[in-house]
Amino acid sequence: MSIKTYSQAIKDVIAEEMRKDDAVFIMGEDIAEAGGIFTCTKGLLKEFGSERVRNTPISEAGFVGAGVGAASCGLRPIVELMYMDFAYLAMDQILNQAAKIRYMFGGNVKIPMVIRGQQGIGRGNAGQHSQSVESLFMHIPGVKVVMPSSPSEAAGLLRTAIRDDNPVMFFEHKALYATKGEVPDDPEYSIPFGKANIIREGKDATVICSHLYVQKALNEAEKLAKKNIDIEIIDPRTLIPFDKTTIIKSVKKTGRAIIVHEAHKIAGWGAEIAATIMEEAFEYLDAPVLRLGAKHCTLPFNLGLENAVVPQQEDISKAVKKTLYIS
Amino acid sequence: MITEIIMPKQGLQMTEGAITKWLKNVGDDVKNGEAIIEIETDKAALEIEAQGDGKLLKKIHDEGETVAVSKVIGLIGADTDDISKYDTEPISESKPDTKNAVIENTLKSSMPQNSNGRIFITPRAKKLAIDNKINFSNITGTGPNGLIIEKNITPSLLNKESFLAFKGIRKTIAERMIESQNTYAQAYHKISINMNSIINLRESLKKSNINISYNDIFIKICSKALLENPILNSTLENDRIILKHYANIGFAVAVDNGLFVPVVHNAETLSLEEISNKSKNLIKKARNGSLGIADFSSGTFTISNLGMYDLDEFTAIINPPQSAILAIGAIKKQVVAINDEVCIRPIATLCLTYDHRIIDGAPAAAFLKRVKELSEMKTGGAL
Repeated sequence: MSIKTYSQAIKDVIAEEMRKDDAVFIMGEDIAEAGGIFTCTKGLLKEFGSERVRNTPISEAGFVGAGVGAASCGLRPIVELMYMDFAYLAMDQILNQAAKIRYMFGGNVKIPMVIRGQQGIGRGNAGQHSQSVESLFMHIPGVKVVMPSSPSEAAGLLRTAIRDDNPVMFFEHKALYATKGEVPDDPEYSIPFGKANIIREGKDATVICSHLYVQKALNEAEKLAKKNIDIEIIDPRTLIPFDKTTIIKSVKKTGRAIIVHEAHKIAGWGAEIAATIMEEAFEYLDAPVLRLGAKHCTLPFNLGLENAVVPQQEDISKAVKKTLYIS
Repeated sequence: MITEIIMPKQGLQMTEGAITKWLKNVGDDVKNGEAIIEIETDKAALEIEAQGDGKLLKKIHDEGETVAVSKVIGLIGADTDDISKYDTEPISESKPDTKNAVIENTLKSSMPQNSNGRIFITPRAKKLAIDNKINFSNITGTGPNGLIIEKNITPSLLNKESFLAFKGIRKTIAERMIESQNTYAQAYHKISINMNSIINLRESLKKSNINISYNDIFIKICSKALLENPILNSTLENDRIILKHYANIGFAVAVDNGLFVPVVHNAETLSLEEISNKSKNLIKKARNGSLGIADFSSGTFTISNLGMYDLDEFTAIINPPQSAILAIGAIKKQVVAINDEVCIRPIATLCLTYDHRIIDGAPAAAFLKRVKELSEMKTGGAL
């Protein structure tokens, strides 16, 4: 085990996988000499050279498309988006090309590509640089959607993503890069997709969350425990594929579920999970499934206002108590 | 190949049956002819046998559900069989031919409702209540607007109130008893019998290793008395009274959640030992729920014996379409006057309920007197 930051963990896995497999390369804006604006590629240029660590023009449609081409020809590109918000520029490449090619060519062409980058609040980056866009990619079949919430999760899930033969949208969170945690030193350490992580076991309510809200939920769990309220916290890790089994089992036990995400509440992934719970565990519910998500409002530049839009840590306890009919 | 498990039609009146117990789990191997499910109709409980080999692939209906005759209850087959077409068998598709067309959930239908007809309870609390057979209609909910929530279903409720499903055998008994009370002019006669002769008869047979019950003896005695007094053995049908010159004598057997009245047919032609063998077999079948339709059909008269509960005497309600029923109390030693002497004798009190629309007091009394005579005959009476 080593203590690493989230960004270090990501950089190390990229380097390890590039060492092991010549087909793996990385490209993106300012990733070579600059090492990426969040240092996730720092030092890679020196070790692997400019053929495998490539700066790109400011054209997401262009270089994501190049990634799809490279992947279809046998390489394993890691494409870094400086902000995941910029994926909008490459939507056709991602959802119409990468997501569909393997299917439409009868399985003869694979797209082993990772599109990774950061998103979310925390730096006052305003409306076009602070969104949480993962829900958009869940709707179209063909891409996997990954949400690491700690350094070790980032390491284990990124390795699985790079080795996956399908396009993976790998959503990092900008406010997690500096967080530290233990990461296994094993260069084969990986976390399978579709296996949720039970962060904390509890019996009274299930809180399903990812990214920043995992730690926030843990903080609230301690406060709630003092009031004899024992919550279970589950991080789905990957939204596509989704580990329905673990969540349904938990809700059958607790009878209450709260989904917390930074993405907008309306049509966010919390709605998908809430609906699934009602379809499969309706008779086990003692209260409506609650969702906490960002207000239907563009993320503001002002940091104070930014916080006013997304769910706050205390909102988790309020929601838990609401499902328990405790005021 | 998929073999469907079908709700069978047992008797003309049967329109639906309730599933009381699945004897197999999904995935279990099933052999042709093996009992796979227990059902209860409004008359009887019975087991359904598998009509093919394979695995139990699917339970389309669960325990507690009521299913119309000829509907598919479950599926037997191989793992490779495609059973997707059975995934959503719409309940509205069922076409039972009579008034009982609605398939209802046992528990839900028997659950009392408040005056608005709607109880607000969370799904979890409802499941908990139903699983524990807790009647939740009177619980005060502490959720918003009185919503009953999980914590309101407390363990202390477990023993204070519970409910039983009111359908199947129980419902049929209720309907028949009400029909009887509302239609028949029920009148009562009582008579005390010196049981000495009958006790002696039983004891002497016991010495020859023949075990007969008091019930068997009264079936024999009544069969004789009924043929001599056929009005007691009759049925009112529209503008005529049908007198029956044979004695099909039913006797009440208590079972969980109800009672059965299996019938010893043509008791007048049977020896006491034959009656005894038949009644033992019927009692066994009643207790394990395997009585067939024929076993409780066409009774002409009924005996109910609660002597084992130490009752002095009791009255019974006539079992339609019969016209009389005999209730037998316990045998108790009593002080009686015989030939102006004070004696102690084993006495049982019989109470006859008869339909005064067609049976007057005198013939009913004559019948009872004849039963008394036959019972008290030193030689073992009619036997």
